Parts: sequence; C-alpha cells; structure tokens
Amino acid sequence: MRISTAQIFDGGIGAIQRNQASLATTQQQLATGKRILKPSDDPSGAIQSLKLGERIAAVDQYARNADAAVSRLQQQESVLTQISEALQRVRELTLQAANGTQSNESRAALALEIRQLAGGLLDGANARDASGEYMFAGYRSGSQPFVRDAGGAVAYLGDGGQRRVALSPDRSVAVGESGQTWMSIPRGNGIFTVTPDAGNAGTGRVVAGEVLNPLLIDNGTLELVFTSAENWQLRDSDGLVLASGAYVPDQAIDYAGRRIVLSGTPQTGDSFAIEPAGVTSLFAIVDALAVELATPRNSAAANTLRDQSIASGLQNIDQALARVLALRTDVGARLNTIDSQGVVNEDQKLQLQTALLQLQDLDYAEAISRFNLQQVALQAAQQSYVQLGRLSLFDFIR
Amino acid sequence: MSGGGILGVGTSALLAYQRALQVTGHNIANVGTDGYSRQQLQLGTSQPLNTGIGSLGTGVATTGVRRVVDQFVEARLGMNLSGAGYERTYAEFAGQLDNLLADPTSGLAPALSQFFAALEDVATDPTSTAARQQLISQAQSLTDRFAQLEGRIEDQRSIANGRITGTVDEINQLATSIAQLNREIVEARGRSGGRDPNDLLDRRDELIRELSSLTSVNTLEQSDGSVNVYIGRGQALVVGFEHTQLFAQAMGADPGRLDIGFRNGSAMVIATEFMTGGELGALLDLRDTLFDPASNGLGRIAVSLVDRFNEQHAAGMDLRGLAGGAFFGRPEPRVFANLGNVASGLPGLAISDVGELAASDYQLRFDGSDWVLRRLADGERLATLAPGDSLDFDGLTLDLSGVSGAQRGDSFLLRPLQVAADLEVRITDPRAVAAALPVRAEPAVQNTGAASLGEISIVDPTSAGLRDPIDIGFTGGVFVVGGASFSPDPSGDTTIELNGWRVVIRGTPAEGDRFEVRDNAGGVGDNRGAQALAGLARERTLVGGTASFSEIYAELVADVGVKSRRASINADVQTRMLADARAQRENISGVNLDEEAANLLRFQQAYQASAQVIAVAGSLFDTLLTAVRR
Repeated sequence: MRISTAQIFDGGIGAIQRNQASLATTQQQLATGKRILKPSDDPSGAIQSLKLGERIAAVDQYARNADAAVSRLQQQESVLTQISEALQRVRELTLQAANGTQSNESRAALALEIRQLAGGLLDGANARDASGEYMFAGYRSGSQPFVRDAGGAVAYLGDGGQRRVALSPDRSVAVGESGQTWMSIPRGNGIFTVTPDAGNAGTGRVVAGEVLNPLLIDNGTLELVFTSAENWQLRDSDGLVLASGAYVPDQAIDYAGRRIVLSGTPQTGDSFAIEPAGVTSLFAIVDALAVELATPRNSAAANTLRDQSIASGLQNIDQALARVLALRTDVGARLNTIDSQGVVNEDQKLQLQTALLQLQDLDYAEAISRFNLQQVALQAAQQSYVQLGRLSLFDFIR
Repeated sequence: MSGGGILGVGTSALLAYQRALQVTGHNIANVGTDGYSRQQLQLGTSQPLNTGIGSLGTGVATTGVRRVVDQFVEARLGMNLSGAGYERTYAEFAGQLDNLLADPTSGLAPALSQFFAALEDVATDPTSTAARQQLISQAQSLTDRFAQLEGRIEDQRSIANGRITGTVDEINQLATSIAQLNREIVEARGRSGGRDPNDLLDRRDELIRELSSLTSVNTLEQSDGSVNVYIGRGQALVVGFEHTQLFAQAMGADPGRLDIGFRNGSAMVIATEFMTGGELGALLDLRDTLFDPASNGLGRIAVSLVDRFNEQHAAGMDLRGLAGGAFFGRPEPRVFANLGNVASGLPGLAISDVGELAASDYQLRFDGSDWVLRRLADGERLATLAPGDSLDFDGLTLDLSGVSGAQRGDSFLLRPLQVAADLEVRITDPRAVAAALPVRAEPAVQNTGAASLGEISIVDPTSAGLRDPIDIGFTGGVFVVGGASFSPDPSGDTTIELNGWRVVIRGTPAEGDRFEVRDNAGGVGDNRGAQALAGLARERTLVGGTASFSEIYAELVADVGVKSRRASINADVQTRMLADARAQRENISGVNLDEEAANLLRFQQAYQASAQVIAVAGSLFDTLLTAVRR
C-alpha cells in the first residue's frame, strides 16, 4: 500500500493529539475526583445526581425546620412548667384555705397570693417566643392574646389555629398552640356540675357528683329542690318533676346516668342546680377562687356555700392541671417525633450521599491505572513519530 | 542506420527524462500543498521508423502529465467532509448547552431548591420579615437564573446566526471561485488541445472539498471540463461559469430566525429546507432540535412555576391581612405573523392549563379554506380550524376571531413558552408574601362530639363571601350551613364547600355541635399558605400530572445531555470516517517523498544513460570521420 508523506506526519500528529485529549480528560477526572465531568459523559447519571442533590437539599431543609420546631417547643415546655407550678401553688393555697381553722382575714391573705399567681398565669399565657411571637395565640401571634376586660375577666383575642412545620414530605408537627386551650377547661367532673343556689339557707352540701353512664346524660339542666328538709324533688327546666325521694344524708341520688351525693341539713326551699359542665377559662377558675376567699363569710349557710365553691374550685384546678399535663406530654411527644424523624432523615441523607458519591465519584485506582496506560500510549506515539520522521531516502542520496 | 537516428533517440530520451525530473521536482515541491494530487509524466515510444527489416524505434515521447486521482474516492471524501462538518458543529453547540443546563452551580436546579428552601423558612417562621425578604431575594435570583439560562441559549442562537451568515458568505465566495476556475479550466483545455490543466483541477477540487465541509455537495462534470455544483438537497450553486448568490435573512414569522434564500430575477426564493449537511446544515438544524426545545423546555418550567405559584399565592393572605396578589409576572404567549401574510390581525393565544403544556412552538397555516395547526416539536398535525374558530389544545387556548382576510399560504408562528428571559418578581414588600390563608375553621369550644376538622382549603379566592363568618351546625343528623344542609358522608369524611372554601369534617359530631369558619385577619402566625406554596415543589402537577418542576427540568437536562452525547459520538465516528477517506485519498493522490526520491534517482540515471547514448552517437561519427580522413 502507498502511504503519502503527509499521511505519515498527519497520522502521527493525530495519534498524539488523541492520546493527549484522553490523557487530559483523565487528568481532569483525577484533579476533580469526579467521574462525570459534563452531563453528556453519562446523561442518566447526571440526572440522577441532580435528583439526589435535590433530595439531599430537601433533607437538610427538613433538618432546619426541625431545629426551629425544637426551639419553639422547648420554650413552650418551659412556659407550661411555669404555668403548672403556679397552678400547683394555687391548689396548695386553696387547700390551706379550706382548712376550718382559717379566719376571714387569713383567707383574705391567701386570696392576695392567689391574685398574684393569677397575674403570673396571665403572663405565662401571654408568653412570647424568641422572635417575639405570642406562643398561645393561634394564628394571631402578632398581638397579645389574653387581656383583662373592663370587668376584670380575661378574654381571649387569638384564634384556634395551630401552626405546623414539615419534618418530611409526609410528616409535620404542630409547633404553635392555640390559647383556646386555656379558655376551654371543663368544669367539675367534665360532664355535669352540681351547684348549690346562692340563696340556700341550710347547710346541705354536695359531697359528690359522679358520672355513672355518660351515654344517658343529655344536655338538659335539672334542679334538685328540697320541698322539705326531708324530701327532694328533681325537676327539669320547665319545673316538671322527674323524680323525688326522701333525703338521707350521704345517700346517693341516681338519675339518668348521674349520681349525686348530698350531706348536711338542707332547709325547705334550698335547691341545687345540675347543669352540663361546660367549659371555663383557667383565669376564671383562679379569679373565682380569689374572689371567694376574699369574701368574708359569717353564717353557717354562707360557710357551706364557701366550702362548696372551694371544693368545685379545686375540682376545676385539677381539670386545668390535667390540661397542662396533657399539653406537656403532647409537647414532649412532639419533641420525640422530631427526634425520631431526625434520625430517619439523617439515615436517609447518609444513604443519598452514599448514592451520590457512588454515582459521581471517581474510582481512583481505575483512573490512575488508566492514566498510566494513556501516558505510555502517548509516549509511544511521540517516540514512534520522531523515529518515523527521521526515515527518509534523501538521507541516503549523497 | 545512421548516427543521426541514434542522436535523435538520445535527444528524445534526454528531453523526456528532463521533463520527468521536472514533474518529480514539482511533486516534491508541492508535498506541503493542500489538495495537491501527485502527477506522473506519461511516456510512450515515439513513432517508429518502418524499414525493410521491420519497424525501428525512434526513442521516447512524452504523451502527457497525468494527475493521479480517483473520482470515487474524491466523492466519498466530499461526503465525509459534509458529515464531519455537520456532526462536529452540532456537537460543539450541544456540548455547550449541555454544560450550561446541568452545571451544579449555575444550572436551574440549585436556584429552584434554594427558592423552595426560602419558602420553607417562611413557613417555619411566618412573622419573620428577614425570612420573607430572603424569599423575595431568592425569587429574584430564580427569575435571574431563568433569564441567564435563556440568555445563554439566546447567545448560542445568535452565535449560530453569525455562523450561518459567515458560512453563506463563504459558500458564495467558493461558488464565485469555482465558477471562475471552471472558466479558466475550459479555456486552458482549449489552448492545450483538450489536455487537463492539472493544477487548476486540483485547486477546483480543493475548493469543492472546502465547500463540502460547509454543506453537502454533489458535482456533475461536463464534457468541456467544467463542473456543475449542487448543494444541500439539489440546489444548483454553480452551473458552468455562472453561480447562484445565496443570502441569509429572516424571511419567516420569527425575526430571530435566519432563512437561506437566493434571488431568481426579482423574486426571492427561500431554500432553507434544501440546505442539508455540513456546517450550514447543522447550524440550521440546531434551532429546531436543540435551541427551541431547550428554550421551550425552560419556558414550560417558568410558565408552570409562575402560574401554579401565583394561583396558590392568590389563595393566601399576607401579613397585612390582604389577599395574596400575583407573586411573579410573566409575559403573555407570543404570536408572530409571517412576513408575507395577507391576513390582518393576530390570533389570540392564552395559557389555560399549565399541567398540559407541551414544550413546543406551533404553526398555524391557512390552506385556502381552513387553518391547519401543527405542533413543531414533533411535526404532528393537531387540528384544522375554520376561520374565526377557537380551540383548546396542549393547555393553550387559541382564538382566531381576530384574524381576517387570510389567503392561502398565510401563516402564524405561535410561541407560548419562550418567556424565561422576561419573568419578574412582582412583590417587593416582604409583608405582601401570602404565608397565611384568609380563613380558618375550628370546632366550637363547647363541642362534645368526636368529629374533627380537616384543613380548610381555598377553592376560589375571588369569591365575594370568602371571609364571611360561617357556622356549620349539626342538628337533626345533618350539617346545616346557612340555609343549606349536607348529610354526613357514609365514609366519615364530609366535604362542605361554600363561599369559595372547602372543608372536610371527619367523624360524626354530637347533636348541637358547631364548626366555625372565620376570617383569619390578624392571623400573622399562620403558615398554611407558605406550606401549600412549599408543597408545590413536590407536587406532580405537570405534564398531565406526572412530573414536578424539578423533574421536568431533569427531563430537559437529560434530553440535551442525550443529544449532546449522541452528537459527540457521531462526531467521533464521522471524524474517523473522514480520516479513513482522507487516508484513502492520500494513498492514491498523496506525494510520498521516498517514492519521489527513488524516481529522482531513476530518472537521473535514465538521463545520464541518454546522455551516454548521445556521447556514443558522437563517437560513432568521429570514428567514421577518422576513417574517411585517411
């Protein structure tokens, strides 16, 4: 076969250039540590690494969300602790006040402390987080949720919204709390209340109001009226007599799922209202106790009424404490959720990163041996080019 | 026989080998000349002398100088030059676009994920002005990134346009030179009695090869030695001594799209579709197969993002309690009328459903009675419309009522998606980011039943009574809202839709329970709007509900990556094939210096021997003279 001189040179140069190009590519791979230098090197790999990168960024975002949620929830937890401690103190003071040895004056002193604690409770409910948002305002976190109105009652100006933060594409956790929770504490046993009429002249008092069967209890209001000191009638709101009986102290009166136990000596005309429990606010409970304790009582009947108020107040405080406890447990559970989701996210991130590394990263051993091979090939091409270039017949024509 | 005869033989040989040495020298001299084909002196015996003893040789005669060329090999080289020119040009542009789109720092993917991360931060802390400001700046960098990417595609377009113009100029110059050479060759042949002017032929072949790398070329040799040159799909470029002058100019609907044409008398003829192969073919193909799909793909993401985001944002409520406005702005779909249109007015084009958009431009052409709609990405004929009609297709609404007086051949280019360069962020006030929803739903505090509320969602943010306070009561076993009543759904989830909102009540409430839907004014801590916006990143609402934003971007990157890879593989293959074809040509026509050195020796020796023949003839004569002198 004929080979032209130009071909010898061009071919030699071409081989050298090709070898140089592949050597440069390998060198670039070695320098960057990446297998894929441009997407066309491996289009599907490039897309996959794009997607993996995006998912890693998403997991990082969820981790940041979780951090923000944790700090908010921890603040909430400390405010809840503060509120529960204040409530415990109110409970202790109330128990102290219930002691028969207390005088009107000593009770008034206790009332003063309860008032101060009530102020602390209000501050707690109006607590703000690090960014100045009210924690118990629902969505209306920009303005103070709990304020005392002209009559001194605490009103809630927030709403029932609850902010949630995403921890993963399909898991989110509530980080805000609605102040509704402090405004909707069930009274008494949570189903119904038995309240002596303020005008009662006797010393009949409620020992217990229990729920026997919640399904039988409707929303109606009943009245237990003493037609004489020995006989009672149970009337509905229209005055219709539903049941009646002889009064025996400490004997249960059962009616439609309710059990009511009275003791003491009622007088004719005394009455007890049996009402659906409804809800009250934390502040109303504490305020009512403070008012009750500050009010001097000087008759046996009045003392009975006070004892009744203190008893139902205690019951309400227990409901409030249960609410705080439930909320604290809930916040704790949310923190656990965040923790466990954090572990899941970390695992996932590790997996994704491993996948990304495998996809993108260079096999150094393979690349270095390839580099050496290409280097040898380039040297061979260069040397053979020079050798070939020296061969010319003209050298021999002298 | 006489001494004169021997002298003649020697002289003819002396002259012939002198010429042979000249030809060899010419070959050696042109070893570095591009396109040079080695030449051979053709020798033959001269006219013999017929004598009584038979014919007597009279020496050597030169019959001509032959150019060693194989026309088939030349034609194959030309074809390979076109192929390699095409693939290399295509691969060059595809590679750049590929790098641009998938760059881990300057591609769209990082900007998208940073934007959605900023949204998550707003969702986590909706009252933070800093987080909102950060969202607005990330939105700004997202629109900037769209504009940069589209800008770079546009740069590539204009580079390609520049190259088209340059290539057409080059083709014109080559055509002029080839026509000129045709003339010179025909004249030279005339002067030399039909012998080929080898060096002129080489020059013409070289010009045709140059032309071949620009476009595909076919040649037809004429009997007078001239050659007719046809380019692309049979467009005549050079016929005899005449050549066609091409020009590159926008002659269609799109002002940024160059057409290749030529003048035929006073008429301008568009020949773009005939221009295939070579660099020019690649430059023209790039627009349809690379730039437009990339622009439209990018535009589809931009339009879907803008519209989906705005839709969700409008359903939200901002920090001031106002309904969320448009977050992003985008240009309307564009319609271009073809330059030669007789029809007046433009068709109306609007985007109706971003979930159905296809990454394509469309062509609307009037066939004399109807408008024919064609999707340009795949060439599919979508519909035939009567004048004045309107049509919904591919997530778009087309309205022809504004077009009148159309004539056969009128056409419009519909370009709905090339908007990525002109997106804007409409919101500047951080407070105007609608991170909340305008209403909230909660069960009444007194409820005793076990029913709970699902999230309330906004169906129609423009509804007049959207933020009116509404109580959903439960009496007599049915939900009562205003005057209407809804029976509880047997599945347990009852959906109630009113005043532009929709709420789901889960479970069975107790008699007398109440659910309140309230205006959320002042709900600054609400992050439901921001969460819904952030959720858009994951939702698969595009391409008929099969892809998310990042997924269609990945699809676009994959598409360009695959094209780029294919182009670079093809370019490699074509380069190899071209090298083969060049080698084959060199095998036949190239100069080998060793061969020429051997020839040099051979002809030198022959020359020396011929001189010896003359010397012998001289001595013969001397011998005779000496004999006679005696």
